[in-house]
Amino acid sequence: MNLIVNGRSHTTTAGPLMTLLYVLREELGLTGAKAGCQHGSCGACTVLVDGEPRRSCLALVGTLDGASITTVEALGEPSHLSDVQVAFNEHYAAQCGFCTPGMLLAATALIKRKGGPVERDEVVEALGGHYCRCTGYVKILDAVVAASRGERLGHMAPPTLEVRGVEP
Amino acid sequence: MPDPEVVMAGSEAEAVAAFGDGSGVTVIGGGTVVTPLLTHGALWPETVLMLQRAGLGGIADSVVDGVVDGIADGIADGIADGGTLEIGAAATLAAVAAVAPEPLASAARIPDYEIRGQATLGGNLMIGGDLQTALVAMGARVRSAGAGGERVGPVAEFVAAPWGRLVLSVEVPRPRAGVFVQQRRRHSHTHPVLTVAVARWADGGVHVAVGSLAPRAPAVACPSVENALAGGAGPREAAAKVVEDVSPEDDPLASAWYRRRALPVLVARALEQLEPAPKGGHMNVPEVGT
Repeated sequence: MNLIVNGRSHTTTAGPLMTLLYVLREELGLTGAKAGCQHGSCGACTVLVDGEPRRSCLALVGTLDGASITTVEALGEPSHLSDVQVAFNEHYAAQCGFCTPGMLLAATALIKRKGGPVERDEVVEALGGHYCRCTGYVKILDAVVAASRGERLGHMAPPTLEVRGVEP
Repeated sequence: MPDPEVVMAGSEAEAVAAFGDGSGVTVIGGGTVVTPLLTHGALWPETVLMLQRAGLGGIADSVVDGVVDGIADGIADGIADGGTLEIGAAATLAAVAAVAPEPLASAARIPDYEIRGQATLGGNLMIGGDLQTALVAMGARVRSAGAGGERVGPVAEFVAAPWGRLVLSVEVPRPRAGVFVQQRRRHSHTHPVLTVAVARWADGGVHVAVGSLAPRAPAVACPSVENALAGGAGPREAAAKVVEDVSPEDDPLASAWYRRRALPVLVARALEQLEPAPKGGHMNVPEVGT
């Protein structure tokens, strides 16, 4: 089976009944998609499959031959965040961060689908399957609405990536 | 145990041949229910049959440009002058919600965007999901394969004994109007506590169905309510008859006592929305779990 992951072709050795989540995390080392409930209920493993948000824990490799996968690793970089990532940063929409990759991808897909500003109830609808156990929902809604309107508060410096505990 | 044989059917005929009489075969339509069972080792079948490329995801409308192309014999006693939809078993709930008439569209709009885009009509029928209540009220017919060959029959009969059958498509008559009402807990992925679907037909008749009366219980029609309506009863008076048609049970979502109390309220609410009556007022549903 061949997948296009973040623009790069990957031929997986996983069997057809393994999940996309397994391929991303264990084969490719892309740990942005989180292994949360692994029942499709929490939303933390959400990635984009051919542009649509999907639970990677429910997507079997056997159904994905030729599919294009986008994970949070391809949304932006620390020095150049995507609009949705900037909004999450500015509106304090990430606390522990476990749900954030799935939220970011689902929100990115929503804004692309809508092609313009989204209303709060549309965000609630689109993110209804994503759980934030820090309960930061209000800030998440604020961030997605702001990102859809292209609003930037500009009061936050871009985050810096600090790697600790790694021997040179 | 040996690894399951995986069959990716390339056509309906291939799917039917691979399914056979269904013994030892686990079918994956969208995979939203089966995949976690495979991942966690709770299910280890001899054969896994995947339907994603079997050409079973289409939705055909018998009404094109306002002209009814044909109505299948005997559907809903011939009262469906609005034509029919033929929905493939592998059609996603998102696709169903986008094109189906009420009450089916609302039933398919389960509260999770990603799951709606992956879960299928056929899978929902096999697990006793939300859609069966709407389909019973609409007099839908299920085309399925399995032991004895292909069969077409009323959805109410199918959901009462779906085992050993492979859903191929569902034929859904289009009513004049429909309403779907449900009582849920505040979690996207739980089964509903109760579901009610009502459909009004061209001859003025109303069909009523209720579901989620117990874990995996099939949806059932409510002839007592329908007869009361036909006899001139108002929504609340007719809805009170629903307890004569059902036998609710206790489960972790709600007690049988609660279901018996809430069901007439929900049926009345659905009937009032179907045809707003001046006498109808807001009716409170008692809290779940009391």
